Amino acid sequence: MKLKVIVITTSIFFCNYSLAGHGFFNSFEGINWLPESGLTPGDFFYAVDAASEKITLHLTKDSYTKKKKYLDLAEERLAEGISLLKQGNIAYSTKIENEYDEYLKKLRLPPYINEDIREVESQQKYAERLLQHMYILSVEVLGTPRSMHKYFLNLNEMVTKHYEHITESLSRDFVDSHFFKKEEVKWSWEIAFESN
Amino acid sequence: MIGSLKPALPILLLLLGACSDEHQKIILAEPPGPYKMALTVSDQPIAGDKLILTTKITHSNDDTPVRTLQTLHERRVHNFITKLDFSHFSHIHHEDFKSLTTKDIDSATLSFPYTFPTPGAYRMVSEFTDSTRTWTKHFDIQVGSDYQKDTTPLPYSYTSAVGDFSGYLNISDGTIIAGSPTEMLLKITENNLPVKNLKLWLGSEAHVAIWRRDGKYFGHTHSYTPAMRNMMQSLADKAHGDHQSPNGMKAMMAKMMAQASELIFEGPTIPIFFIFPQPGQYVAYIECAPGGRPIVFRFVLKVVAASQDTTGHKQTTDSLLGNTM
Repeated sequence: MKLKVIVITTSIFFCNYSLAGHGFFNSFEGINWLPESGLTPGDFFYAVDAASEKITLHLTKDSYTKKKKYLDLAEERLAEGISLLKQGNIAYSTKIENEYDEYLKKLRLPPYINEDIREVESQQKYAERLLQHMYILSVEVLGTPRSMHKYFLNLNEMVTKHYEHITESLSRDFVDSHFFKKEEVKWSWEIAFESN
Repeated sequence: MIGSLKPALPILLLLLGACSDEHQKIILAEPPGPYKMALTVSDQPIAGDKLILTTKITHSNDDTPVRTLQTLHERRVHNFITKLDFSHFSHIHHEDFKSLTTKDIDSATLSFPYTFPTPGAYRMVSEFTDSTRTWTKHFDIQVGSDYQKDTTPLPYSYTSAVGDFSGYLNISDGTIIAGSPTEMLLKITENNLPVKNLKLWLGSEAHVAIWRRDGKYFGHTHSYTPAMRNMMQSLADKAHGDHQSPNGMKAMMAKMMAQASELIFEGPTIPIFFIFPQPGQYVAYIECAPGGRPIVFRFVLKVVAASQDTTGHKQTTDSLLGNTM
């Protein structure tokens, strides 16, 4: 029991300490941010853009490359969603949430332990990146109107769900190595709402 | 003669201004987010030239300067510059050269002179604190054009020599595992004799700047003081209470940050605590000040991944934290 308390309290301490400056831990420094949002739903050529995405996906046969494309497209949706929410535009939030969800769903492994090391490595990379999505959302929500927060939280909930699904099939050691990162994300969200 | 030039003076000044702008460029820091940081620097930095690096921090949503930057460890903005082959390092600030003025603070614009020693790719990481949250931004600066990008692995090194001083870095568990708490112990000697006259430098016995070999995952930490250990312990002892809420933690951190710097480790050892986020090769620069004179040791460390064994339970979070307490 005591160890559990230590786990909880020290982790909060680490995260606060690191983010308050001069820290023991800074998991997300230098991560690739999201791509530029470019065209967003409602723009004149958005449909053309979306059609070309589908064609590219259709032409990609290799499953690893295809999954990588799904992740790229999920990130594009996320970037578009954030861009619109920052403008206070929620007209396309459901559409964006659904597409983001769909693309992330495609990254998931079937629920058995996959022996293919390449697949395990990609799943680890996806897990890592989805955690970064949660962190990016917690930073981008800063300074947005309160009415937009629930949409940010929807996206976060979605990515958290997929992250958990992916990590279910990964090793305990790998999941443990994410412990402090997850706490940092959690703290980043808490402090974001406090600041807002 | 001067009188005859007088009408043309405004135009001449305008042209001069344009010329000077022509030789400057603005680099926007990565990552984006609620704060925007811009670096103004010569558009073709040349090694050996004394340049002025100017940074400005604004709110991303309305471009207004961030007037509320906090001073942490005696400086408003901490800048860490490294050449990306890790042959060169600097920890540098505006206040090292001149006092802050109201104008500097109001415009959130700070500057310092800097001379890049050799051509190459450099990265500057700038760290600032606002509303008790610290933000880290980085800039990539190309100096000269006649150089090759060097990404070859460096030889691992847990000892480092600077003049008569030697630094020995001991990793408490022998191996550094990504995502796991790691305690390191730096031992410093001078001419093979233990150093016992360490002084505070910018409010700490040690400033540690860490990068992965690819320039990513920058970290900045300091000596691991008994106050930190005690705080962790007291937190661990409180199963219930406000200290686990963000507000409670924030208040505790604010209190700790406001405390006066105190020399704890006079030498020859300084404990350091850090959690390396990813596996790979890391370079750690540790700046300390024997007798008050700052020196920088460089170490090259190996960080391994958590096991990929899907049934492995060797390194659970409980056991990891158990190791640190």
